[in-house]
Amino acid sequence: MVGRVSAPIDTVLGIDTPEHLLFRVRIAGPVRRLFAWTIDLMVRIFIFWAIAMVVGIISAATSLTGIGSGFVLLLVFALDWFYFVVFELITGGRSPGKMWLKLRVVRENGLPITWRESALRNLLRAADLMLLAANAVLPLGPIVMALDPKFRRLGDFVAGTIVVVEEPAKVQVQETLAPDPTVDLPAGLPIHRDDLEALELFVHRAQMSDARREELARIVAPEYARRLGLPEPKNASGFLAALWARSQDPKRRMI
Amino acid sequence: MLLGKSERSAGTKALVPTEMRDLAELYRSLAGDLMRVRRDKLGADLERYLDNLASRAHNTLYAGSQVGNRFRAWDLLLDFPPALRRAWVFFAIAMACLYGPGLIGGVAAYNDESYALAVMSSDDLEKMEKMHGNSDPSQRDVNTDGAMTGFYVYNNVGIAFRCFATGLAFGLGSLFYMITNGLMMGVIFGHLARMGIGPKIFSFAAMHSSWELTAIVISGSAGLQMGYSLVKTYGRTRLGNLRMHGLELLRQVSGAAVFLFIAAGIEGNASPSGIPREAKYALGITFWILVFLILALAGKRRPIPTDVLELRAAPGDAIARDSRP
Repeated sequence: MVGRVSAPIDTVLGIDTPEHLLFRVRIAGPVRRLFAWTIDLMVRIFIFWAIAMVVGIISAATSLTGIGSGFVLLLVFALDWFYFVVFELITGGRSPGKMWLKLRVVRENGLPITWRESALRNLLRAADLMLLAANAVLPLGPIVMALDPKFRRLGDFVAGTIVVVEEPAKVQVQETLAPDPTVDLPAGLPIHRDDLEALELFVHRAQMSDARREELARIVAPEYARRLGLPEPKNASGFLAALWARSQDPKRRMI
Repeated sequence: MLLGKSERSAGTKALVPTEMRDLAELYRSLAGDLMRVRRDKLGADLERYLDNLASRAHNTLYAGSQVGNRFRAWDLLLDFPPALRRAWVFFAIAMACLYGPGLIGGVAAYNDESYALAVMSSDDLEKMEKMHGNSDPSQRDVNTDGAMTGFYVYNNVGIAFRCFATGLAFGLGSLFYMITNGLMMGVIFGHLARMGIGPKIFSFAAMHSSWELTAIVISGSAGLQMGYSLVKTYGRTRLGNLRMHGLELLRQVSGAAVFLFIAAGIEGNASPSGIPREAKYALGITFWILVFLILALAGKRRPIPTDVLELRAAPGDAIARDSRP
């Protein structure tokens, strides 16, 4: 198996490349895919409605009503079966709903999908829409998705594909703290790299309120202060931010 | 920037050779940079950005050539009869599952009034009687024909699809659907024949029955094959084995789809029309022979596709061979 789900509980899949490079992709969960499918459904309904209107006008004008309704039924058939395949082939694995949610269908080794995968996974889409019982809450697809670590539905199983989230990541501008709180810190901070990563994630979390941030920081800040031989900090989150800022200082790289 | 250019147009073909060389060099150095960022923990968003770049570059560089990958519907269809012949065992089982209960149900419903009611509800039977008993060919025009064709496409594809897709349940779903559909169809025909409109319905069904029934049998056979690929895996994982059979299944299903389209076209237009019964029977027999010839003889000179050759070189065999004393 080429991709292994990363060890911590996360939806990230690590993909090995021939360069022995392991890059990580985030797999889309059932909820995100459900939203994308709903958007696709609305797009299809809109297409159907638009064409049906045109057909209705034409058939009313020329009194070819039966052929019109036959054509409309064929259109429903095509929208059911071919809509996804056409979009996936044109855009390299994205239907309009997926485009909206920044999702993409790729093969399990991270490579783009071919027509074989597209045909197979959409052939079994109707199987994923089946209900196991008459009063079931969810069709088969989301149930299978929820049970699989890579969030694959039946169509993905047969075709060997996964749906990944494409996050356009930008490098954030370096933040500066003023006045420089790191003056009190010793030159070399004996902090392990995993701790540094945790510090960075903590500092960059924007959703917390200040009180909550302080509350969390107060759990670990005394321990760091003790290790560094510093007095217990009054502003715990500020202390952690200063630690991290010092670690980012290129002039005083840590071992 | 180079990635953007190649992503916008048709892949790496958009880049001139010097750009290709630059892209490959940059990708190698990107690999080194990404590893260093990870090791030195230089920042989570920097790592994410580089990850993103790396995955895009990986996609672009290793996307694989277009040669042999282009989709040709004609190839798929031409490979369909050989694929079916390779899986003839499943086809035979599917035929037995459809026609067996069909014959039993038909004969039983013909001889015994209550048998039909035991299988189907009286409402459904009445509907069938009305639909076929009172149909008058002269009242249909191109409008009804068009509408019915669309309806038949939608309806028949649904039935055939159910016979195929439920085969994922180790083939049991396909068995179930074919047996029940066969039984129902047999009972309907037997019952209606008993009611006295036998010649009418048989002439109605004559022309499209070959295409439609064969398509359902093919779908069921593909479903059985799908289910069996989950059972006997030749040393691979179940899913891996299923995936390797995917193209073969796709060929058969496409063939069934084409047959269903033909059936719907005939069922909507020619079957209910007012052409004489003898003509319908004659054409019906011709179509049955044609279907048989297609399945038996078409595509004999096609080379065996590569995925089938890979299938035959099963990993389990090598292990068994090596372990023999």
